[in-house]
Amino acid sequence: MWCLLLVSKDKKLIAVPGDLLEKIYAVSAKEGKTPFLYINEIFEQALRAHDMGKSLRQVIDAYIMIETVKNAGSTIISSESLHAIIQKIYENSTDELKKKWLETGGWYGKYILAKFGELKNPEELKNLLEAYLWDMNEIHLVRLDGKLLLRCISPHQPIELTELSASFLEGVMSALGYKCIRKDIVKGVILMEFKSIE
Amino acid sequence: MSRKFLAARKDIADEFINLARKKGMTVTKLLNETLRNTIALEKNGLTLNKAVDEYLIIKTAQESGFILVPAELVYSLLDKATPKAIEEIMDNWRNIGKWCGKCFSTRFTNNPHDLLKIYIANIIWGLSDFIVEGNGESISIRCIGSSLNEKYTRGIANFIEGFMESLDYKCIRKDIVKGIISLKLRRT
Repeated sequence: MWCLLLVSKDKKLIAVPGDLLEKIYAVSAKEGKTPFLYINEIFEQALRAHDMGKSLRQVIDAYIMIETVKNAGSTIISSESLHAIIQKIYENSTDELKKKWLETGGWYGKYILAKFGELKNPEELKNLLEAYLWDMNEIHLVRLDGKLLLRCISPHQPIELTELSASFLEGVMSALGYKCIRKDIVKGVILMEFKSIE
Repeated sequence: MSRKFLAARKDIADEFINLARKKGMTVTKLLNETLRNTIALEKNGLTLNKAVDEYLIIKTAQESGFILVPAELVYSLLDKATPKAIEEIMDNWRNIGKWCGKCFSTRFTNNPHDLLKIYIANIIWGLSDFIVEGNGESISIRCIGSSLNEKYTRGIANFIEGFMESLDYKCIRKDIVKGIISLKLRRT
């Protein structure tokens, strides 16, 4: 049930629960805006989010995730640039690079635990990985027969980056209490099986 | 629960009503959801405008082929590269910057000052300061990021130079050390 009253040809009155209105007044005052200006801004942003094909909730959640990974010491880089760098040095430093990516993955796994606590199900971890691994077209993480099966697909990824990404993921899973018992890595495709260390 | 009334612009309120209809929600439900989300964000010291703006910028970067990587992994890769490879990488970053300049100026605005301050500042992470002065014949850009390593700092400087070249600015003076970039550019 809703109630809109036409006040003038330019304005409409909208019914709002009293408790929410108080909060709107407080926030708009803090931002130095009138409630009228502030509510219009809120509506505009909700409409913008919709134009991007998302709900406001989804945009806010994505933004919070962006801030989280930023604070974890991540950077944004062109995938083309990263591929170019890796391809110049990979052949001569393969083991060293894999070790570094494994260790860094381990740190990120610990960061996930510290930030979000114990993850209750594979879906939560899958969502975090999807939010972080932009170059992966598909990520699947399911529990089967007591094991966790991870599948990542990125058709345009060179084999060197696929191998390093797999090391990174192994590090993340290790920090979360899982040991890799099987892996199959080809260009753009990662298949890994994990079992709980406990 | 008591109800009170809030005034909104008619055109925006009408669009909001249509949005509720499209989502199959009542206006009250969508309004409550929207307001509660906004207030929750503000409680964490974040503003809705900033959240939506930054989301759009990051989404554009993602769609343009940018990815997230732990910064220390990039630094360690650069440290292993030979001097010849580094020069090639720096050229690559300059070219990516040029491409980005074309892409972002087509999508958002062709005002260099705004492009730098609003868009580029949001995709170059790790900077504590990103200062842009001037907006016409000459522009000066100063960046500070104390956690950046020397090669990565150079890479960012090359990216920005390439970006500005696409907007018809040439670098006439530069000073780059680990974590600090100072560029002066003039319109060609």
